[in-house]
Amino acid sequence: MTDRRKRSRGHRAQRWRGPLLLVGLLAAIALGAPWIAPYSPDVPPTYATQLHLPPSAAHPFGTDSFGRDVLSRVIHGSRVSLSLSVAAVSLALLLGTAYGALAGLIGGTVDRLLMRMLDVALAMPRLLLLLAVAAFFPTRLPLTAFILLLGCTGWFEVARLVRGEVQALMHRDFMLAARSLGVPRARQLWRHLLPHLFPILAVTATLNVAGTITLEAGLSFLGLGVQPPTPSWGNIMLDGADALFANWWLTVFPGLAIMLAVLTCHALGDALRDLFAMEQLPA
Amino acid sequence: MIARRSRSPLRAPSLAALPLILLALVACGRGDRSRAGAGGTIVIAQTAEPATLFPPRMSQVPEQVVVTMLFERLAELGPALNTIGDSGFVPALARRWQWANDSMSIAFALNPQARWHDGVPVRAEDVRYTFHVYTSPVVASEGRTLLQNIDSVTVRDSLTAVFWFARRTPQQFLDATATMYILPAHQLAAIPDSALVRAPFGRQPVGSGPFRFARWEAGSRLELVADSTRASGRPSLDRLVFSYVPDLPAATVKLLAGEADFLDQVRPEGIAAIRQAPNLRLHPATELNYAFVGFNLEARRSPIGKPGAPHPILGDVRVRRALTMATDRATIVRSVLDSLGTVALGPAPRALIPDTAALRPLPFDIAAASALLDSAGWTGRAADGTRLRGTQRLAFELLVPSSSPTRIRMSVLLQAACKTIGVDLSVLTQDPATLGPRIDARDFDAYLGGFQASPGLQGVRQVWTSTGSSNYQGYRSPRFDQLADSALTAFAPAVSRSLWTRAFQVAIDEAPSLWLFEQHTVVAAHRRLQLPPFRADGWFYTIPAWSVDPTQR
Amino acid sequence: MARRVLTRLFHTVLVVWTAASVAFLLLHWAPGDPISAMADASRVPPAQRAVWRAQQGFDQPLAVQYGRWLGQVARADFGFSTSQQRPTRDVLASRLPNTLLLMGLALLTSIAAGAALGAWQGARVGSRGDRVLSSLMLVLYAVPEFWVALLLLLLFTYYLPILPATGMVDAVFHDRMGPWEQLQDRAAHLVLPWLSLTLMGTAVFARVQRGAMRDQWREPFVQTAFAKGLTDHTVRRQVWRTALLPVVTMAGLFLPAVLTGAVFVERIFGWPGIGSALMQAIALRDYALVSACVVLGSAMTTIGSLFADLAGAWLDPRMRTT
Repeated sequence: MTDRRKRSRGHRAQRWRGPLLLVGLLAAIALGAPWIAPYSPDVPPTYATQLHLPPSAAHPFGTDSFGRDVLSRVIHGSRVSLSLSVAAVSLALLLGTAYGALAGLIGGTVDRLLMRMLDVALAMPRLLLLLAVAAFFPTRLPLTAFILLLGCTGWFEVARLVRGEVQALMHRDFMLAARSLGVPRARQLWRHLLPHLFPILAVTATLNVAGTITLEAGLSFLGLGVQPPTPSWGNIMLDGADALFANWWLTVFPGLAIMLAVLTCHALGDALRDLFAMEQLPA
Repeated sequence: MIARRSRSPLRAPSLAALPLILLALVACGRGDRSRAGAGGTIVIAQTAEPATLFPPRMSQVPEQVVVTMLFERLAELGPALNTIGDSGFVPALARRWQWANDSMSIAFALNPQARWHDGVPVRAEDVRYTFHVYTSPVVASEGRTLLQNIDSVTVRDSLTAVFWFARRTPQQFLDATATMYILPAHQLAAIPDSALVRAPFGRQPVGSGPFRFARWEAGSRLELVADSTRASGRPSLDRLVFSYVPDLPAATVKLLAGEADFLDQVRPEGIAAIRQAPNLRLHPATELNYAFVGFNLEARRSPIGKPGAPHPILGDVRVRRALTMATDRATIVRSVLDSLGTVALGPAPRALIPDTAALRPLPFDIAAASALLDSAGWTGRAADGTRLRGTQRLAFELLVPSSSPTRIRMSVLLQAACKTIGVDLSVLTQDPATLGPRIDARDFDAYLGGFQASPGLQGVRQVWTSTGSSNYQGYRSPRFDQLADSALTAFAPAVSRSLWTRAFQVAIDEAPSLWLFEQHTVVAAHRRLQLPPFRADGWFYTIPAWSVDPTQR
Repeated sequence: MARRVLTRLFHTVLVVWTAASVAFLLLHWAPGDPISAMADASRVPPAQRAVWRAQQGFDQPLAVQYGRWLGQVARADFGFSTSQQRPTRDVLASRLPNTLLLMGLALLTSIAAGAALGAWQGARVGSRGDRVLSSLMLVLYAVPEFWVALLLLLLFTYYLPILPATGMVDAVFHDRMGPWEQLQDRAAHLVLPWLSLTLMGTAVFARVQRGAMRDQWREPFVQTAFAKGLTDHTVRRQVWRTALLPVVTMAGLFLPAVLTGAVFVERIFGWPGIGSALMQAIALRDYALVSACVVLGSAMTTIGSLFADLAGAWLDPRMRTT
């Protein structure tokens, strides 16, 4: 463990190769969807003859209950699912970190007040929050609004985790030193706390990406999710949930796609963490 | 705590194995699961649970199933579903009945041996009280509107209840018997009407039906026991256990695993698995439902009951007909429902339409549909292929309840069909509680609706005539109104039949809705169950006649 | 001390009241009401629904409804649950114990297994064993809940029928069993839902624990400890102990989940818990039941955060100085 810091720069570059490759791959798939996908994601003219085909050479991921090519839908679905989860999780991390760090850094009454407010927010079933918001959108929700919605209702737990970490870090020598030297709070946060928060944030991000992708599908029943016929990994999987034991390919392939996204996020988090760990953490 | 329990993190793998050990332990402990010695007990798996067992407030199938087993009506509809007069009915709680000479009253003679499950005899007073409860404005029963033709119910003697009618109609007898499950006055009369709905009776009912209530563990199971002392014959089963599993795939697995004997709904996806299971059998059952794309014929948010301005797109009959003709309904229904559905004919399920052969549905004809849209002025084309009339796009929104996977699937195919003739149909799925108020307020262009009909076609008047209290789509057709009214008041079956045929043809030609599908119910049952034919208005009415193969109890 | 307890108690009450009020308002904001959610539009005309609405006071101004609800809660009467047609108190009394049993057990085993696995990994980050376990945990976390649950269900009740499928007890024979058999019956019904929840829970806690562990190794006190000549084993334990902090915070966050339950798992295994009841209540706009659940949930949240604070101080001696 302790010899980690002695690793060469070349080694570090290698650590970056994997995650960057994965990110590149996903980005390429999402951006190039119309050119990569073998078929259109919409209902084909001959749908009645191609329902529920198992995976084959013509349809590597099989077809769904509309005769649509699942591979093409997974490829097209990456656009919505990736942009949505990455943006919403980033927003949640940003808000949660800011709130949690602020509470932990300032401490005292402000901290207590902020934490009690957080308790209120945490006690609210998320579905209830989303339902109430849905009331303001009688028609379909634009994607940006949807991302904002998911981000704004998803940061409470991040905030609590971050605040717990910050509180622990405040008693560490380097923070005590920083404070006694009169380092401004903003700089304390940026230079000293943030690097230490990275591991917990990386873990949270990894965990939340998968959750957000599947949550989107769950929300389509409120009229909030992505509406048909636009595919998303979540709603492809939901389409197949009823037929899990008859047509396994409908849930397995989007599930694998989600897993790929999570793995990417995980690898990226690790790499970023190492970057911070090696260059910035005071030992 | 945790730190002390496992002293070293190095032992973690053994901890991870704990679930497996536990699994093995439990697996060894489980004994023989055979049902030997259980007598005739069957488990019916259902995905929804009743909300209440208070008959006046029941509305959904799970409630109907249990209420029908616990309570009795005066007479039951026979298998032919003939609702004109009384020839189609068989005695139930009433042993016989007699019409007054002017046909303005019917005297029902109750079975003198009928007992409530607490031992008290059933009396005419119970019938009078039941009518009072069903028509009480504070109880606000769904069935109230169906009882409007009954002026009063009086007690002639302790075993004779007399129904007095306001008008002479062909459906008088149906009105008197179909809606009301007779309630025990001695149990309820002391409770003020306003407190009845929330009284504990709704969860611990006492009835006079073939089964008596045993227990209800909310969220998981409900148990009924045969009333073995019943004079009018006991059911052949001993016990009836309803097991509630909200998730349909899980309920199917429960059936496949042999933990349930009966599943009241099978979706196309589950059919193959059940067919392969050697112990299970599929049985077709009917249900009186029909589903449609209901167009709003008037401007959004026009109040119900008063004629409003026509809808800018869907107010035009040519557009509505074009939409129907551009839709390959047969293929859509087959691909979503497989063999479990047929194309709907008109505003009623086939089983209730007297003469289905005489009706001519609109053909599937894309060229004719396009021509109709052209003639309606939708001749321009936008960049995405959507038709234009001037600058107006031929685009509208379809609301779909998120609770119905079938309808969601239909909507995707409808969307594709509309695209072929340049109609931009956007689909919005919403949860039923959100959808309901929008439909009430008529704040929609079109919605994918489905109705559960009851025998007698009286429901048609409520939904599809100008004065109907549930006419959400603003369908105001003087021809349809007149024909439906005449059909409902005709005493001669042949006259009623031809009037209905004309009425339904009007509803097809004027296309207030795209008549989409009727869903067939298929139930799955264990082979040890011996089932008589189901009644067309519900599989559950014959449960008292179900039995278990004696060799497989 | 007494004063601190009192302030904390006061805070809790304040949080619970605010949360419940916000929930109450949100639910009323949401489109639809209990009547629109339950009535079949074809058979019940709007006029009839208006009658029901007036009867139950759902047509009154929000302030009046709020006042009435507040009065009920003050008397510890949570009103009448419209989705289950019985007093909310009865709903809670019948559903809550089931959820507490399932979720409590699952949470405990997830924390224990997750912390242990994470610690084992954290002590040997980068090794083959760590990589294999990491991937396994990620896979466990990334697959959707309903998938895991349905797969387990199929596997152990259909292909390898050693466990009962759904429900808490055998629907037919439970009442005829002896006490020991009844216990076995209950345990057998508990296994699958518990396993589904624990698999996911373990993944979460293991990830958090592993991350924290590997960071703690860089802390100065580790070098100090080695310098003092402490054995590898002793240092490892101390590192683990301090690295439990995020796990504890996470556990505190999960505590309210013990109450709201795992909706999918409850649904698939027909487990009559409060989670599925709450979801149904939200869908049917059951004001009384949702508010009651939020009251309980917010109480749990404050308890969870209190627990996390206290445990944090106990685990990390450096935090105790305040």
